[in-house]
Amino acid sequence: MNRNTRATPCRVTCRRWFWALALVMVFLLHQDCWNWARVRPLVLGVLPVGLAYHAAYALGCSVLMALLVRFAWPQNLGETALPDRAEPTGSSAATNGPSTAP
Amino acid sequence: MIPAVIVFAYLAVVLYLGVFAFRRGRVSGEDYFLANRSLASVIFLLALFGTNMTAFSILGASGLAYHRGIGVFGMLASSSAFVIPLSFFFIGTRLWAFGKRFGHMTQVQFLRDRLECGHIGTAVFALTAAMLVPYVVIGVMGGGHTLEAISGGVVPYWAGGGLVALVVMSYVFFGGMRGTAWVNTFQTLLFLSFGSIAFLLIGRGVGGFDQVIERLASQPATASLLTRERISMAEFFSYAFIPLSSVMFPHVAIMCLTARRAEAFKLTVVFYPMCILLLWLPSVFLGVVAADQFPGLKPGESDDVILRLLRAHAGPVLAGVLGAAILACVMAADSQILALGTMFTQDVFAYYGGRERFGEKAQVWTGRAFVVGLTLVAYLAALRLKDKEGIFELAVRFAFTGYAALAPVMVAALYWRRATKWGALAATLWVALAMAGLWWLHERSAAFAPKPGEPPVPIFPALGNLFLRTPGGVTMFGYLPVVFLCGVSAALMAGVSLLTRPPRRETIEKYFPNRAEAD
Repeated sequence: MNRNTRATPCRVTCRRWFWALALVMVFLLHQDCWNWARVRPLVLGVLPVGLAYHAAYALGCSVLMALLVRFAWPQNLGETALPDRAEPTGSSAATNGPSTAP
Repeated sequence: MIPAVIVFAYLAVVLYLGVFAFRRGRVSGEDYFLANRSLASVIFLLALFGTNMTAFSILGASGLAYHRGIGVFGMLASSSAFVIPLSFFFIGTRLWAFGKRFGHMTQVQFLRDRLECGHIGTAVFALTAAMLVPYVVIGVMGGGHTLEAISGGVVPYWAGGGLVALVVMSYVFFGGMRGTAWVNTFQTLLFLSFGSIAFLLIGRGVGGFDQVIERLASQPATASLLTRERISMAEFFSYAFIPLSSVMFPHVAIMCLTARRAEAFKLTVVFYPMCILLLWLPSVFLGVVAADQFPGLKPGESDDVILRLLRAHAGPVLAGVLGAAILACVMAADSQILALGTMFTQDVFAYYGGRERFGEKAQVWTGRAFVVGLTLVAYLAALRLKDKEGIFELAVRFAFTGYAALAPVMVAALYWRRATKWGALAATLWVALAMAGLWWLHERSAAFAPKPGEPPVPIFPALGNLFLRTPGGVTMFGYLPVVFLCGVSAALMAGVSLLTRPPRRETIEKYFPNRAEAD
């Protein structure tokens, strides 16, 4: 069952704000000024802390993306909403030539 | 010579894969340019990643880390791990859905139809094509440098670049998108598999990475390489805007249209950050390690530090295999060449009546002829530009900044009903003029550009810090121009759209059916 079909407009709006806030937070975490001049501790004995932080950040991005895909995947992309076109490629206005220009 | 022989064998395999392995009987336009929109999840992820990773990802990044330290990873890679999957999530999926429904084969076709204007498509085509050509040149240059380094100079730069250009041109010519996608998949697997082996071998060869890091940390001259002290906070922040360019690159946008289903994007969105981590972390780390092993290299010389490490610490056979893996990344010019061919045939040849007059077969052959001509031009340019610019700087300053600044146009066209052609035209013209202005500023300040380690110099002292010249290029108040280009581009797109007549209702209903009903 499609989650969004049961959601009220208010819940949809709240959900969007939640994800927007989460994305802003993750972006801010990228600007880790506290690690700027630090070398130690050396994570695993070789990775300076600033490098280890951003390696972990990249892994965290994968987790965030998995959550986005699981809970916020766009609902209007499926083949029911956007069926395969019947006409061959090139028949749309986009490819019909300069006549579409104003 | 053994590594060079292995690399030649690799090129032969790539040629076979691209030309013959997945060839179909009759080649239609959609099959040649978009592989019939049939790529499944895993192939889509690997091909898209291989398409996006180029010479600069590995050679340029390690060369930059050699001079500026570990901060290069956060500046370029982890920001990409956040922004690029998001751009696939928000832009790629929607572009794919519209492309599948309305038959678009390029983003220009989408913009022309959505914004009800042929001119905007022509303007975007001209701008994006002009910015992609240098990127293709970099690919050929990377091939020349790599083969020269792997063979120890036996294969000269001109021959290496020519060979790579010839191989790429051949499989793009015959295999189209299907051949290119499979070659990219093979290349990505090769690099991700053998890159880790290279990392371990070099670590053993240098006596353990812990020893190297301790040596670097103990010397004042190199300790800052293990921090971000060689990168300003403004620059670090600015680079977060650069990955916005990713999905605006025509070859990536066109690759997005090749997915079989929307679900193919899910795997890509989730695993893309991990692929970036696997590729960039060793690349940046080895760049820093090279500063200990080969001190004193100049910016132009440091682009092949990984190859130097391989030659010094891996056996000849393994060095050849790993060299081939590196060449895999370098050879990403294939999808860019194909994208330019696709754009030319769809956005110029077909749009201006060529397809109707000469038929679909002529359209495919026009694309192929364009591929040959473009490869030749790129090769000649690569010969002429050798040793004039660092790979990384050349790519970032022009292509990345320009494409990133065009992202607001695409986002608005995809998501905002009120977006108009005038807003898009204003933003596109702004980007074109700003890029020309940046070029002029760069050339004007070249004579007094500071050397690495020296402070920035105001280009117009009367304007204070508005335009500063750094060793890497022009900045504005210390920030990269991409920040301001994106901001103004978004403001123009929004402001001019609101001030002009909205799109026709039919267009809104076509692209926003659910929301149009709600009005």
